[in-house]
Amino acid sequence: MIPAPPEGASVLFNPPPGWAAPAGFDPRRGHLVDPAWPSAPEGWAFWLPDASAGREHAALPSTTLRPTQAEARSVRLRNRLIVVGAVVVVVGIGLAAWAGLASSSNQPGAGSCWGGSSEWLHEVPCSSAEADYVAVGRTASPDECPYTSDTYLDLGDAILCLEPN
Amino acid sequence: MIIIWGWRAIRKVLGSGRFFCPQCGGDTDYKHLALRRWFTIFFIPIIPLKDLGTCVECSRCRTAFTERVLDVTTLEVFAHHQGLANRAVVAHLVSLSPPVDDTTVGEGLLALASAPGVRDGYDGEALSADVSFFADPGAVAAYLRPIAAEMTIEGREEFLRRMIVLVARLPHAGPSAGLAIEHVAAALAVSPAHLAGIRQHVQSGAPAAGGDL
Repeated sequence: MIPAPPEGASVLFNPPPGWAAPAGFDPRRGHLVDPAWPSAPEGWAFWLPDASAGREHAALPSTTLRPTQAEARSVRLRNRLIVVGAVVVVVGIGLAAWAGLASSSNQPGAGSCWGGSSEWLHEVPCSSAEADYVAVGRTASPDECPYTSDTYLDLGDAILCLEPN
Repeated sequence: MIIIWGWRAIRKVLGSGRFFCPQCGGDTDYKHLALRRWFTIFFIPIIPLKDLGTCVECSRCRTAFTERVLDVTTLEVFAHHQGLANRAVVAHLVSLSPPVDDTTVGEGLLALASAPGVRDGYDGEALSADVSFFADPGAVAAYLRPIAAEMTIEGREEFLRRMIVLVARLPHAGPSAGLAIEHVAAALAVSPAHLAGIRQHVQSGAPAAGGDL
């Protein structure tokens, strides 16, 4: 009596010794056992995992070969590495994007306070006594600053419009 | 920064085995596949998208079929079943013709000598073992069932012709052997009228029309 295969698993029929089962013999498909075949040894594993089961790319030449169990293990390892690599790439892209946004948000803008000499200004807390100027806008050129702003700071890539605090 | 993205169909092998490929016209290996479209970044599948269904792919010609192609048995398995069916009916007819002496066994072996699917070296000892197993009509019916749907009309006629000849040659065959032939014909979906025609053909001594497939 052949036991039913485990449900949901990809398995292949493993004929016991002495069984002249033809290629493709599979009891699940209604194929009948020759009554002359000897009894299977005690505890014989009639169903073995199908090593070819798993994921593969349609275009890979490896699809033309039936992988051995060792090859199947290496394919599974490779697939896991691909998944880990994909996660690393996605996380890396996300971190880079977040870092870009964070760095842009750290650039001085309207509301920041500035102090120091008229030639060498530096950003200071607005509550500080050194806060001589407050930024009222960030523009591309000094001409675009509000008329109330009589001082500006050239940041290199932008102009910070300042008013006395 | 350039991001290369796109879609790609990824296939998962659900199982594999051997089947009769209608395109190749012979037995080959197959893979049972499930296909799904994936969203890829840098050619790496990231997000599973549409389920594209399943198919059976021939490993030789790469033709994809529906799963129904697996319902057809391979040529090797068909020959295996054909041999079993021949042995089952011959052994059953021998069991219905007691005593099972050397002459009876010899006639049974003679009938199986030309039967397809019976292995070389099948001898009297093997036939005696089969006689014990196939004395039960239920066992005979079970072993006829797999070939009944796949055998051609000519194959069924040749199968029945061989058994009718055997019954005629068995020294101790009684009416039960003739009745068993009718049961075998019914299991092979051969009508009583068709069986009567085959009997008449055998009695007239006309040669067989064709093979056993």
